[in-house]
Amino acid sequence: MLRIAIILACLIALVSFGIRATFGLFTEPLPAARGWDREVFALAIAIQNLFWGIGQPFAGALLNRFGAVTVLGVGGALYAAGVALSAFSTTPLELHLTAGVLVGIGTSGASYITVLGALGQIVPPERRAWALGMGTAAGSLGQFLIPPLGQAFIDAYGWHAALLYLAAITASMAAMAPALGVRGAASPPGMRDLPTSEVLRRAFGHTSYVLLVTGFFVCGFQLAFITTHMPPYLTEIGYSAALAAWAIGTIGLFNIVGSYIAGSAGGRYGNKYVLSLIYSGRAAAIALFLLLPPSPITLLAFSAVLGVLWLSAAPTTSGLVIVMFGPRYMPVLFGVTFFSHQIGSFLGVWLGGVLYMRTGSYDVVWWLCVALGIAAALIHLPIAERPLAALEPQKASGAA
Amino acid sequence: MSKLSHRTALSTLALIIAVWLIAMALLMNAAGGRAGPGTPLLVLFPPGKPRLEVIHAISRSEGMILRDTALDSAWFVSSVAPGFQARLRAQGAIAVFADLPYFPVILGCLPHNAFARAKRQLP
Repeated sequence: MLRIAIILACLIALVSFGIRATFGLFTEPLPAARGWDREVFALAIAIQNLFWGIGQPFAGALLNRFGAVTVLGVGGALYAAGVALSAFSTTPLELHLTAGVLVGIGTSGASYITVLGALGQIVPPERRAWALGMGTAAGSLGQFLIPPLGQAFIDAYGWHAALLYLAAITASMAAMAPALGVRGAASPPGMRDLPTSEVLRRAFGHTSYVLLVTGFFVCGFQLAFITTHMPPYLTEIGYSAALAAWAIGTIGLFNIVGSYIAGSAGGRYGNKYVLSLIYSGRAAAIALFLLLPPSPITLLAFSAVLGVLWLSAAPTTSGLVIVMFGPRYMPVLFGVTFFSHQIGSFLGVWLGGVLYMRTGSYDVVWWLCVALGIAAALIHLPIAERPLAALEPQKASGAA
Repeated sequence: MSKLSHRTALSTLALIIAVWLIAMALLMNAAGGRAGPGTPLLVLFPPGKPRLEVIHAISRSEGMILRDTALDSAWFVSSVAPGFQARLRAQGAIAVFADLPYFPVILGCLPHNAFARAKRQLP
């Protein structure tokens, strides 16, 4: 039963992360069909990311209150409704409300972050690190597999029908959610939860949690900058568009392996050491890529290393939250950590554009990524990887 | 970590990839049906069909061979006459694929610019 729950949780992560990655495919056909500028669509996606980031801690809190089945089910249904309704949006406002707000809120309910939170609660401690790695790897796999499927839907049936087919795939998350109704060790019956504000107050009272939240900000900064600005940077320094596409594909492929290995390694060697290795590895890889002469081998090797280190910070960061505070409040606390990640993402994309316009090159931000990587590698070392706070649910008055 | 855990991960991955490959094959086949006349197509005949018979089948479909592939049953073809895909299927083709931006990712065994190279053979 638990194994089926883990597999279906992974499928939810795969669909959730994968469908999000297909939105870029509609940047050209959807606005063109409606007679809009691409900015209208870009704003919808920006709104979507904003609502996902803001909604994630709330989704974590709701997970504790109503359970994974409800949060993932409702999140999946809202996500699917948003994708389907964006096909029928005929004004920019409608698109911002559907592809933006509705999908953003739905994503936070049915994101891979929520899936990791649910897995943290239902999987026993000895298999938890592995399950978190598997959940993240499934999300990475979705990012790799679903966009080609989305493109094939567009080519075979057109963008409008493609959105409806993708909405049907998205709706499958709501159908799979009941499998996560397994009661884990983190949800003992007859216990009363601490208020979310109290959980956050106690967590932020520990330097280790603050350091972890800060470290994940760096992860968001690096990943969002590279995702958005690497393709134009590569063509600018002389790589062909085809090779740039291969570089992105290589990152996606190695990301699956890296996420899985990191989850298992975090459980075996200590999450903070694996995290420190991930950030120092990213810094070293970026520095070498900038210093070595451009060549296809350098680019593909860089992409492979970056891919291994790409989402590997997610299972280790979530694993560390569980070690420090227990699985019960992990969805809320990892949700807050993820919010910090999204602020980093926003700054990575934004600063990348601003500094490029001011300096005429991406070099400053690339070296900023190196510096932040070194800083993140160092700040994870003093983290106390042990239970820090008594955040266990309290016995409800009158409970047996 | 027990072997069983890694085995679960690997079997889940294999199942997902298998479902995905089937879905992609069906969708690419459907996309092939929408391709306009003169577009390069990758046609797939039943494996084991003799090379000469495949060439004849393409010829009878009023098609032009652009390039061969490592497989005797798979060829890059084109035709300016409408209804080419239907004629290929009537001649025994099991699938007709049009170009897709993600083609190199989907079929890593093909050179990443296979369709572009086939297109260069068009008159």
